[in-house]
Amino acid sequence: METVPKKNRTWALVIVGFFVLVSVISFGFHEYYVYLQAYLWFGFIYGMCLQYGRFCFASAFRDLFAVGVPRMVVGIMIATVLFGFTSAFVNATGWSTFHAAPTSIHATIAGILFGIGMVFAGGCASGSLYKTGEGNGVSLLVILSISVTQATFVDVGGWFNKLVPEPWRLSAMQKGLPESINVTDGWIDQYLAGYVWNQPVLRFAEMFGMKTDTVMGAFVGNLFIGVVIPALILLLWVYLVWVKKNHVRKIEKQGRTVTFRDHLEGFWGMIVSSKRTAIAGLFLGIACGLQMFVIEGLRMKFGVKNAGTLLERLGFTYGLSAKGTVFDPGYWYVTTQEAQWVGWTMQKIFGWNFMDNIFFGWVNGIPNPAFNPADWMSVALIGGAAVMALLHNEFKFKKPTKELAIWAIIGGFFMGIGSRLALGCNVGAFFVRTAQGDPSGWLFGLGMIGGAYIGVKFFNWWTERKMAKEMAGLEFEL
Amino acid sequence: MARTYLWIVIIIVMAFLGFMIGYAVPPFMEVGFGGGEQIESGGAPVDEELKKEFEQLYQIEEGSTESE
Amino acid sequence: MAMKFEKKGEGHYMLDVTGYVCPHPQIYTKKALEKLQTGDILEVVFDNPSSSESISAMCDSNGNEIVDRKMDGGKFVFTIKKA
Repeated sequence: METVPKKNRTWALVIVGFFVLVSVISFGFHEYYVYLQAYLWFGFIYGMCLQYGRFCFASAFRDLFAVGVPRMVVGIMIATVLFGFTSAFVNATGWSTFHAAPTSIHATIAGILFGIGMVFAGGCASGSLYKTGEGNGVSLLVILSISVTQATFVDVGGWFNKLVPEPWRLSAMQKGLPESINVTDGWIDQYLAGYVWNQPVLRFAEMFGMKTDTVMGAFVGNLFIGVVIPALILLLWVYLVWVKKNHVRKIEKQGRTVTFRDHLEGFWGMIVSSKRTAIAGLFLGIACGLQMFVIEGLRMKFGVKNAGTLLERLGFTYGLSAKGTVFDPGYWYVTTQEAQWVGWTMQKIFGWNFMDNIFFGWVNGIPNPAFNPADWMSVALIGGAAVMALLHNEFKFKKPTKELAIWAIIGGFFMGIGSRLALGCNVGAFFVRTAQGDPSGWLFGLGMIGGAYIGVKFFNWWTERKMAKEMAGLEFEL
Repeated sequence: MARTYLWIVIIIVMAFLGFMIGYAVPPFMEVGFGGGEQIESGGAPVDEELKKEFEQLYQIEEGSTESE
Repeated sequence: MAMKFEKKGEGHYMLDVTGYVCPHPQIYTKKALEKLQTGDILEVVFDNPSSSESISAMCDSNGNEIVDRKMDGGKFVFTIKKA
């Protein structure tokens, strides 16, 4: 580690001190704040890990397609398998906070949109959070764009209602939602109630005749069949297509013939090629499982199923959903809370009614961001990344250039749409779901890969064009 | 030098983590692992010694967070 | 700040992608390296931390050698020799 300016160290301590203060003071008010603190400190850990490992889902397939670098695919698979392992413990108790998502082609379509968006924006949903902690203005713009797009997208009705297929509308009306939701007004409402809710909810354990809440189902069904095997297949594909060629070339340079053993070594070399990423993946996987464990323990202790009950007991009733709930996944999540703070702000300041849609009004609510558990997580994630960046002397305020600002807004828009269609982002819809043995996570992942490919194709063309301009004055043959 | 600061940060984070895990473990002990359908209203019997240990865990952790 | 590509001397080029975020620095670096001759030197200037990992890995797998890496206050300068 190089010498780090004193200013950086001081700022790092100030940030940590702030979170410590928030935790201690809020705990002084009421024991229930432990629940919010759990979100806060796990968010902080995620931020530290993400920054340390330059852990960005966007770069996984993008860098593979664009420059042939597999390190992030590897890192993500390590994290997913480990997270799968730690959460299998929690799942086996039958007390997991996880709810599988409906499985259908919508997850893949959403993944494609999300994948294109994250290549354009230069970062996925979680990546943009940690890069904001590095002082990156472009990433902050991406977050703003994702947030506003989501909040708007879940509420648009009017002309967009005409785009709703009739069967969705009819099916949505039969769901018996309260009048306040006004289900026939709003594209997303009818998409959710009329289509997504009708799709099957699957787990690998159940698909193979086991039960998720048993040791057998959690470890063999969900973890081994649902996570380890697909992850290995994916890594093998990456090795065969991108890594093998270079590895074989290196060996043949030494004048040896390539054996099976060399391939095994090559495969392992690919796994450990970026130590930082692998280590971050390791800690992320463990932390994600621990968070589920802690949140579930706290729920049992306080006798609640959702943080909405705690907020109500604390006297904060504004923005609770019609069911009295707020967004409280119990695990790592990024996009929903981003939509929530925009929803809260727009409703408070501009009087826009957001509670008449399913997303806010029926499920997630729009609590004051100051008391929104998931928002504590996101803010702490930025803080954790900032601390890490400061202590490694990598923190730098960067104003977005006009070109990048445009990419950021377009990318954020695509990611916002994609994450609402899939009910989650690269974390909530892919990472968490795959690790829990939910096949819809892999469907979203496939979409992300496809989207990344399209995004890279575009950027390759764009970069070629710009390079050609720059090099025009030089003596290159183009 | 920066490494020392990093360790300070890590220790603070671990302290809070330990505090929260201390909160979350006892309820899990009552429920037990392996099979959600086996949960009984009273929960599984908890060893006296273990109970005491967790009570003390709370005291130590609360003390340490207040001093920070 | 726009991307800059300059010739600094015979077989010595500089690519300045300061201000750019992922994936631009690594794509520009790749494209620039493709245009160079074997033995040419390319200095890449960037300030996006995650690109440092990607560029290192990319050079490693393609056999290009990073002869020097400097890092100061969030700004990176990698000197790459094309294989």
